[in-house]
Amino acid sequence: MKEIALIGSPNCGKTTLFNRLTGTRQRTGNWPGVTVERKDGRMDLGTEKALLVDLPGIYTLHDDIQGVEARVAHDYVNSGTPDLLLLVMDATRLPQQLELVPDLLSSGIPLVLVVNMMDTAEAEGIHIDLVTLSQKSGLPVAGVVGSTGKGIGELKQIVSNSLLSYPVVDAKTLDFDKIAKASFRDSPVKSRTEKIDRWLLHPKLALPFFLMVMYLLFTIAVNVGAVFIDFFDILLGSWFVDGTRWLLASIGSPEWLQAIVADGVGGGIQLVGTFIPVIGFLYLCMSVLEDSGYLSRAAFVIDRLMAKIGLPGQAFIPLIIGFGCNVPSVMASRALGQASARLTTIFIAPFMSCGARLSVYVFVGTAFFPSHAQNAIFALYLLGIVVAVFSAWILRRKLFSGLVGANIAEMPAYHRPLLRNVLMQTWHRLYSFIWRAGKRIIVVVLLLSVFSSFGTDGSWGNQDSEKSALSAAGKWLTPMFIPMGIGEDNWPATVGLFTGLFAKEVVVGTLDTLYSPPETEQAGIGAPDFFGDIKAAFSSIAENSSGLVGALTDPLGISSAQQDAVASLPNSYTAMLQLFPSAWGAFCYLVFILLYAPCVATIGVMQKEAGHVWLSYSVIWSLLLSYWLACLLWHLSLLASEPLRALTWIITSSALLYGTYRFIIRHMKKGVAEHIPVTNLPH
Amino acid sequence: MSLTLNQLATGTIATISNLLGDNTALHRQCGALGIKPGERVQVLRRNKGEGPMQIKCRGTLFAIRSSEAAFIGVNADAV
Repeated sequence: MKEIALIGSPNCGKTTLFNRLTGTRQRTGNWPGVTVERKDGRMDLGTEKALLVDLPGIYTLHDDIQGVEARVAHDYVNSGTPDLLLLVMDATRLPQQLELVPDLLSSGIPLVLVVNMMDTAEAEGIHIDLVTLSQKSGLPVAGVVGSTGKGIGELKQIVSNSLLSYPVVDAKTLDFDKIAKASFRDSPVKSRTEKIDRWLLHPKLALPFFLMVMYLLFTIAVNVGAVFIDFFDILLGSWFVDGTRWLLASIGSPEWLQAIVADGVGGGIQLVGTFIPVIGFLYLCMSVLEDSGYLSRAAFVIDRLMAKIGLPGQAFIPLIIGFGCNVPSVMASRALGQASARLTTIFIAPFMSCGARLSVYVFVGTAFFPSHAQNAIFALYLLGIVVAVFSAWILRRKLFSGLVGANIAEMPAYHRPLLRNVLMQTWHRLYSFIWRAGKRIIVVVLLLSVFSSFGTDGSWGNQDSEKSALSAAGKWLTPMFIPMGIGEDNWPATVGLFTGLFAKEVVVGTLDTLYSPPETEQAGIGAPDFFGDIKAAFSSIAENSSGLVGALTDPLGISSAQQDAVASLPNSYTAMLQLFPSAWGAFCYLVFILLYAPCVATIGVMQKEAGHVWLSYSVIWSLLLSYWLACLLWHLSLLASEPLRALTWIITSSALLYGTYRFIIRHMKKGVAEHIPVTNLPH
Repeated sequence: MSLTLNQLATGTIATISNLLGDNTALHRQCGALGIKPGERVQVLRRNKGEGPMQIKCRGTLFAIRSSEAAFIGVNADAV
């Protein structure tokens, strides 16, 4: 089968055309050795079928300013594998897009010029002369509208012909500046995009509009997405956790196998499943914003603020999403071109206090400071932002200091987003999350669940009890956490830190169970009520959507989460109130929860997006910082009663932190050299 | 008259004369995006002080920080 490659700059409509040419016969994967997405599809040419390969969007083949993507395209074109290259060009930017032609011709592979978005060019008042373009360049030319499918038939015909016979073109004899001038006539009046920009980038209106779009993005992704979380939670829990355990128990398999398969693998699948709705909705919104052309405008509006912490404007979006969930936040940072910006964003994204952490604040906060819970929660959110800004600032000063930026970003023309494109894009990204990040998440859940099930006496099934290996480890490690004020016998709080690695909201379950007076009930393993669970799953959607209206005025869900906690008033509060030495101690514990380490799902995507080296820097960084900060806050409260001890602790720990950070940064400097292409590093 | 891109007023059209400074990353990006000597560039929007600018070059719109536009030398076109 003949192999045909689609090549072109970012935003030239390559993906739309790819979808149009291949329909749904697509396969996604990665290019060997890198995390650049590769898409293959089959194209029907009537007489024969061809394999169509979608290359990453690039501006040039001979420069690696774009990092790995240009290299992937370069290697593929020069590998000699493709039989034909289709250069997709945005008609509104034809002169710029023709830049790629000489490079592609020098590969010796037959080349067809595809001028896309002819309709947008017309709407913008631009005149394109395809006949002149073809005559002057000597290359086959097709004009298409990828979004409507106009001209696709002719394109396929040209492709078929070019596979049979192809004109010999010498790149050296062609002057593409002249060709561009002859075939492209810019509109004498202001284009449609410039007219829209007059309003969306208006000095006074731009910011309000930007805030509105961000608010909508957050509300839809986090709150609408959250409506479906329980659905996946109940359904997958019923099938993979309860169902599997019942099945294994009924065939008489040992308890350790149940712990591994049902709680480990099943629980992992359930956890991955609960992220699907939020991430899916987020990708949907992002795809719409990207497709419409607004995303680059949003970056333009917020650029000045982001420049202060050494990040490009585009980094704002991943960070704001972090308040909902850190997982899509880390994934969204992929869109940042510069490696240093991408790594910094991934590094600081976990400090954005996510929705799951809120439930812990509420649970603990309502117990200790019922009347000030709002203020305490607000302070924690603020603290997260301060730590993020501080970390970004340090990275910029110490790690990327000599690095000079190049932040010129193209602003594509506005388009009406295409439903088909948006859905396809969302699906591809979601699929990539489920398979690639999902695998890593399941492994960690498996390990943690084995530890929480395995008892110190060799028995299994000790989840959330004093006997499990995890609880034993918690007791053993509790002395380490006394300096932050959790109290000497407060081992459940330590265990909560471990289970919090699963997902931050799990801390609530752990604390609630471990603080509750022990009950002697042994639930037998019956067959799960599959039909009941399916019904419960669907009714959860209805219930959750009725709460959606309230979410519009309270996008972080603080007050509704508080109502939940007050309504249930857990009987675990008594024990918790006794074990923490004071309310301030509980606040210090919450500070630690906010910062100590991201959950396994976030860790999974961080590893996927930034590699394990960078991930370990980030985790060590936040562990040390959170420990130091929580202890510092606790010792500040001790200043009055035991000034000497408190002062000694504060000074020693700060000095140690400073020393360790200097060491880490020195180490990072070495590690980062392997991460960032040489062109991006200071000479 | 020789100026840099960040000094131009909104609406001005100019021709790029040369790329200044030794920021190779910036020079390469300019080259890749087609912001090259000899090309005409129009300032569509600019903020006071440090903020980013919107420029148009060969039919394409770009966002560029004014601190980086300072490294692009231009000759203002006679009106």
